[in-house]
Amino acid sequence: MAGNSELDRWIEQLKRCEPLREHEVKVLCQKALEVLVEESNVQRVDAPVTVCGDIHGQFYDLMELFQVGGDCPATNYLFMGDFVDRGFYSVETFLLLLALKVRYPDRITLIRGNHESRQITQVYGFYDECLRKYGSVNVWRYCTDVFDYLSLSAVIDGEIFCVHGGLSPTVTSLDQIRAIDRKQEVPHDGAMCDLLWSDPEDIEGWGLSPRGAGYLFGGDVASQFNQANKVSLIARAHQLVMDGYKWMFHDQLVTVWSAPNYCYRCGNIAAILELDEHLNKNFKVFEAAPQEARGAQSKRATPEYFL
Amino acid sequence: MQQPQQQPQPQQPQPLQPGTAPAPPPPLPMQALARPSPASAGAQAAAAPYTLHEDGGGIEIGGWHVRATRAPIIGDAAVEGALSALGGVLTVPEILFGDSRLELRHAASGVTLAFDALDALRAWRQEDLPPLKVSVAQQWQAARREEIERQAALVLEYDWTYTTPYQGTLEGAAGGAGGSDGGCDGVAPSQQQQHQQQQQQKQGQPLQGAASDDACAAGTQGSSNSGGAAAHVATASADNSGGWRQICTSLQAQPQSPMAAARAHAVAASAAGPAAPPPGATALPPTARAAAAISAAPGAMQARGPAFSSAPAPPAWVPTQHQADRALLLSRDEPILFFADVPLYESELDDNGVSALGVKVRVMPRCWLVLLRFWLRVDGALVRLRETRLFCRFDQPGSEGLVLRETKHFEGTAAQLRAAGAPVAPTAYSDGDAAAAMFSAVAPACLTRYELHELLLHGQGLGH
Ligand SMILES: [Mn+2]
Repeated sequence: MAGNSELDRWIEQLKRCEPLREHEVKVLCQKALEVLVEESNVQRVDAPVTVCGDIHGQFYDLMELFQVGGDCPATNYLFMGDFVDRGFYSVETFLLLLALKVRYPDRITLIRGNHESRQITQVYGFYDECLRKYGSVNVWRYCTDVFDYLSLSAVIDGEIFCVHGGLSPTVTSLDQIRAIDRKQEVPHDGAMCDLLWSDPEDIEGWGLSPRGAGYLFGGDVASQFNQANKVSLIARAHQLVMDGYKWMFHDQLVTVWSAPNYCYRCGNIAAILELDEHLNKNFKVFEAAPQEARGAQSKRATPEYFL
Repeated sequence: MQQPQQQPQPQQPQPLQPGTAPAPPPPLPMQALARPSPASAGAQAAAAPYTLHEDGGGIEIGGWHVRATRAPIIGDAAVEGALSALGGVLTVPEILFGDSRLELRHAASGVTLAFDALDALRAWRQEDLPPLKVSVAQQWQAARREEIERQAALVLEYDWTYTTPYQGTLEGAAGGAGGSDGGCDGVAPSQQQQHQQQQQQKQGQPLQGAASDDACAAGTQGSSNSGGAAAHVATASADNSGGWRQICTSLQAQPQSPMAAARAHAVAASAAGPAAPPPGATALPPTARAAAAISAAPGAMQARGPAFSSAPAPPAWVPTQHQADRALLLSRDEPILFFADVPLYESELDDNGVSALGVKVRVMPRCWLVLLRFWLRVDGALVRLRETRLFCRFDQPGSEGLVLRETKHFEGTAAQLRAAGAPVAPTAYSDGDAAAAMFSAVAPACLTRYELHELLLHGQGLGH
């Protein structure tokens, strides 16, 4: 089993964007399961803490995030899911966060996003990346087994509820989240699906997406939830926002987005939310790391004999 | 240890490219691009002199000024503006390059062919396709039927795929196009259509329905010579400076019924139906913005500025038999002097697929080519591709005033793709090029539209 010195070595290696070997990934993931299985569906987190949104495999931008927010474990972090898919470096990104979690379990909290799923990663990049980098899907299997153990939400000092997507009509109290059996692939129905997939919208009450699947919730829903659970704020990720963060519903909900220049072409700014010990809020914004976009930029600028 | 890959996309075969086409020449180094001609194209007798814009964002050649602007996605405030500019819709694509634009200005006529995300979304609202359902929708809703009814959830109904019939915007500056009265003389097809347009206006029958008094909602050209296959709708309006704009689309020229125009964009999902909301249901009525979406007729958003009837009649796309010169486009002797790839909007459809609109241009010593492409993948349900190609050569006397347009639409549901022998797995359609290659391979299966049009620009153009 991995000791601290081995973990430290892996962390250093991953910080250079060099993936671990397959058998090392296996060991790391096993260790991670032991840590994560102990966590609640509503993980308790103490301030001060820095809350982060989607990363999506943008490894060098994650390094930029640590530059701006401080290193772990000196800074206590909460990541609200979507570590993988879309970007070039999902493997390195997730393994680094996981190694930090195993090494400093009380200084970093990882909750599950809708991309931490077998089905979604087979379409949006992580599966292919594992296959390309390792020549087999074993690493993808180890990682997706870990996904099943990630917590679903967190509450900071009993005041701020953190979740990847949003609320669910079947959840009015945090205890209902605590009762979910989360150790499974993200299902198509039920509260677990909604927490990872739903979006706030300028409507009243609940809305059903025109796609025929997926909930939208309005400001009154957020208010009722916050009052019932004695929290003042819902912090969530899941949706790209140009300025890195976006307030809604009279400051009862905030979206945090931590992938700058998303997909190497959006040109958006990323943000992290720093909460001090009194829960004072400070957003720190940052732009993309120059290394991140090299490949994509040159591709778009190259003259192309399209027909 | 494997080095991370930069995810190179293999060059996909393009729809128009024959299987035996020679590989294109390697791209020129930037230094070569930055050097003014004619040195680099000395072999071409007809090659036009050109000037590249110093910032690399454009080129002037053969009577055309080509300019590409690429900007980051727009922020919250601009998104709010776009929502209301589109008549109070609830959403726009989350990746919206509202400040990006490609334009090609024909110097002699002052007419500009422009490509712009907001105009494309205006056309999206105009077409207003009924909403698709994702492949898991039935399963998702079946498990929640009771819950949805209990919550009286607002069921949003609009085309969330952002499918657009957009084919570009025609713009004319005041005193530009046909600045003199004689500008339209002797150009029969275009004149005929303008006449139709004026007739419709006189009869007070704008085809787009509910337009406000100060707007000219629509000019419509039915196909007069090809059995109705090539209808064309242009939405025109004048701007405050006396210029004019036309949003060109591939919509069939069918009058929109008042019912269709008034079709609700949101209805209640309660068992009792929208007419009798359940007592105490806080979900009803929808908020102001959703209500605006309900009442917004598709035509309403085109109302801007005074009618252009007092302005010079704009040129018009008409059906043609002419096609782009493929040999010229495939020629190895034609270096690319200017190239730009301008994404206009994209949506991840909340991780249910991809919807993307973008435009590319390449300018060579004797011609330019534009490809405007919308493509859509709804995972496990549907793949859709809509391509508009514009071509102009400026190596013959007056030929720079003639722009050729090819319209190609493809679409396949999962069942249709399977029947055509095409893959269904979303990973087989990783980008627009992949979708185009696949449709090209199975054509004519899944081909839903093929049309050719031309646009004659005056000034020093043909026929004078
Ligand atoms: Mn997400």
